[in-house]
Amino acid sequence: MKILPLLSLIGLALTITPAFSHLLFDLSEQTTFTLMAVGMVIWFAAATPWLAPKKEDLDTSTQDHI
Amino acid sequence: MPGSKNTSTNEYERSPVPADAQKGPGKFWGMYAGEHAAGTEFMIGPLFLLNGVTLQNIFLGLLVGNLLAVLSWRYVCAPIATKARMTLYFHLEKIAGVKLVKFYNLANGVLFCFLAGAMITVSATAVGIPFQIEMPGFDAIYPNSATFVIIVLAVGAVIALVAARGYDMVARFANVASPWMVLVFLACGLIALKQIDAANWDGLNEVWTQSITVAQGGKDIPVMGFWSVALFAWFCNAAMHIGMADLSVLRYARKPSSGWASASGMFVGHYMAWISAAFMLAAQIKLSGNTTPNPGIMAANAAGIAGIVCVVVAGWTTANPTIYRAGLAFQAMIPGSSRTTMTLVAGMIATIAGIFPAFAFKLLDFVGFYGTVLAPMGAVIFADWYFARRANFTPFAAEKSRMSINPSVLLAWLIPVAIAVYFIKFIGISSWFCILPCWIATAILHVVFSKILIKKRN
Repeated sequence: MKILPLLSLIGLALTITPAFSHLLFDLSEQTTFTLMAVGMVIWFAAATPWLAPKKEDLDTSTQDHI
Repeated sequence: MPGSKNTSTNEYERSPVPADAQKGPGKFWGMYAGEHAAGTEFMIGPLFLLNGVTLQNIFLGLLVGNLLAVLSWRYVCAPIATKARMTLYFHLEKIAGVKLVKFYNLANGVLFCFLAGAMITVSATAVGIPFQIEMPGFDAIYPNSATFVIIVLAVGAVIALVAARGYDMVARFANVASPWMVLVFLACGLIALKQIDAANWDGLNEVWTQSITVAQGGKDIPVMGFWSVALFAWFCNAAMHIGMADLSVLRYARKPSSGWASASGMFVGHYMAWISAAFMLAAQIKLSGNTTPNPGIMAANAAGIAGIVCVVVAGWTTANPTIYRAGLAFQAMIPGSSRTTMTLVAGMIATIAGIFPAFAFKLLDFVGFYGTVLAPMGAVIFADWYFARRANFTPFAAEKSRMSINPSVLLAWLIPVAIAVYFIKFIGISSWFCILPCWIATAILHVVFSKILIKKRN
């Protein structure tokens, strides 16, 4: 199961790194979007099994999400 | 809200949080960052541009406003939270009385419904992309097509049904989604910056000013200046910090210094995300001339499929708990009613509100109004806590006198709010200018009325 947090990190890295590469090194927009979509799939697939079961520690019942 | 959740955190709703249940600051940094990177951010940033805020004012105004918000959490809310260690509702019940808290809760619930409605509109803008329908324009009050209405109804129905099933599943999904959403916001800003194609600050400023001119039909009218931006940023969460709703969160903090953790929410969600979202609209205007702040289309242009999914997820994870909490507020008002039914009623109201795009496009005004109505209750708690002994009136008067409605609180709350509503609706004062005067007036009136109306008891 320790591989899942690592995969999650790869998912997050694929979400943000292409945007930096697009801005700084002219990575094409289409490649950027594709890598971000792959990062999204990896993140949700890898993070859900270990992050979702975590119990909420704080009372967020009054939060307004603004 | 009392009895609101099926998690371990509801076990101290009517007693102070004991030492062994208190948490270190780390938990709060993560919580605030997650809670304030939400669907609303996709709307608020672009609305600054459409209101003619200069580039300098957006950077400086948000810096000052968010800093003041963090200081409010740290020095107004956190000290009371870590000494009293009670929820907002339990604390307020002791001062204002059970019935008045229910009334406050109802006001909260109704306002939450309209906030959720705006978020349903935001999600619908992304869901509508595959159907290639024309979305309502910025000035639209009413929906512009039957397809838009059907999409909003479908999105609202799904959100309401999921909310009616309970809070836990959505909270867990939101926990998974929030780190990813924060990075998508940042990525959108970076890509938008590339699309703007400015070599330096002056170039960026030029594109920004041109975007405002295009959006305002050839004019360049700064509807919002520095202080409007700063005050909006300070008070958009007024109900949470000076309004004391975050007593419920920070009662778990070991030390008041955990109030600094709100900086993660302010500078990630209300600085980076708002500026990113504003850049997304500036890029859209530059590339296509389209000035409508349609979050779905803006995010699709800036991040492709990941952007579209982010808008749907952000809108959903914002609207869902909001509807759930509104349902609980309604349930508290009607004894014997079921939570499921009341959540569906809240979902129905939110969905109907979502059909009208004006709630999303007027989000700045609505958020200011929401703070104006709810934040003054925090002034009651503040004045009761700090001034009862000095001004020689009874603290926690409702508990000690067994009142279900404390008239001093009712009057101290309603009089300033009624005057503020008059100024907002009839004089045209922006709602974010009314929050601080209302809060101060409520604190003073609570002291005065408590001395006059409430008989001193030990």
